[in-house]
Amino acid sequence: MTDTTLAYSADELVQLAKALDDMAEAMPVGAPGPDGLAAMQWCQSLGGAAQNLLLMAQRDYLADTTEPLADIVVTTKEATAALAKIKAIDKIVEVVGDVMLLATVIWLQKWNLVLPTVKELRNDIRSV
Amino acid sequence: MPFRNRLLAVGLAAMLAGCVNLQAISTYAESAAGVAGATDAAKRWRDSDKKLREQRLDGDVCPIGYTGRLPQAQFDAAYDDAEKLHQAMSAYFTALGELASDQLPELAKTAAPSLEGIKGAGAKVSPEEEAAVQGLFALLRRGLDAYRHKKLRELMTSSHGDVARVLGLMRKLADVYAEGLRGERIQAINFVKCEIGQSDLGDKYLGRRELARVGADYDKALSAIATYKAALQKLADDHDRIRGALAMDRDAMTRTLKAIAATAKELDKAHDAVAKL
Repeated sequence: MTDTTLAYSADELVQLAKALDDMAEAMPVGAPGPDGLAAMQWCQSLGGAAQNLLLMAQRDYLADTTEPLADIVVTTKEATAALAKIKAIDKIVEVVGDVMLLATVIWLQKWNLVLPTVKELRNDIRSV
Repeated sequence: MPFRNRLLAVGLAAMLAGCVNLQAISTYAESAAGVAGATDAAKRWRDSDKKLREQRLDGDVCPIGYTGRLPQAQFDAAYDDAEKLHQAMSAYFTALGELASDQLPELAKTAAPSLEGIKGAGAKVSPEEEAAVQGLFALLRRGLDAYRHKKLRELMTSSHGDVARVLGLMRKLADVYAEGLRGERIQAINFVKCEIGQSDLGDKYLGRRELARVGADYDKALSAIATYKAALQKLADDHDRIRGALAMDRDAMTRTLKAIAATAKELDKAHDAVAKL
């Protein structure tokens, strides 16, 4: 993975979309009061991000690029696993916010922002 | 029986056998064209945002719908490109069926699919896949009347690589659509969960029933897409089997094509299931 020419495959975009959908599923939307509503809003954003990555995959299904998004997929999966351990909504929001930013820089193809964002996400997971 | 009559009987039997065999391909090709041309899964994916918002409940307090989703026009354009692939595959199987039924096949009327839209979006299109799409179309346009049923095997042999590639591509797309629907299911279920969390105890019982109902609806749709994807695989396998059968002696060919006629029913079922999405 280099700063400006991150390559990926459409399969990996689908994997990443799956990871985002899984994260949306894990949001504590059933919590009473404002916590539940806040969780639902993050769930909607994750769902929207997943849809965008699927659109990118659909357009890009023939991509023959070699450098995988595997690192990012793994990191996102780790983040989802970490979510289960988090109780406080503000901590969840921090991690989910990183993931959202990551998804956004990917579909905007701002490759130079991917590495710093992944690093930030890793730090946040570690601090949980 | 005089020798001449015996010869005539044998000849007649051979002709009938020939007709029956190729009719099996014709029947099969009709089902194949149906399932290959089905764009229902793609359509369902395109309309996901609208369908999700239809899950709203009276007096709800939780938000519903994707946020930050790219403009619908981009999903519409992506669907249009996918539709062209389906039309090309469907036209191919229709032509195959017409050849087998010994009718003069119509020239493909559809324009060659362009992957320009996909490339214009900044995505990379592999040259092999693009060549496969174009190759399939070039074959269809070459004037199918030259390929009467005696040429069926030649046609299938020359197209086989492209057909397998395009069907493989369609299976990849089915994965995209399936994940899109799974994501939508998560949104719809979480919306109900959120409503339960915000409601008083009396509503929770009804909420759980709603949860079960929404889940079951989506499970049915997801199962239809899985069946459809399996049918695309079957289609690729059968194309190879038919091609092989055309090189066999008559008895072996009859057996193989009978088996293929049976799988045509499965393709019809898959087509019906996905059409209900």
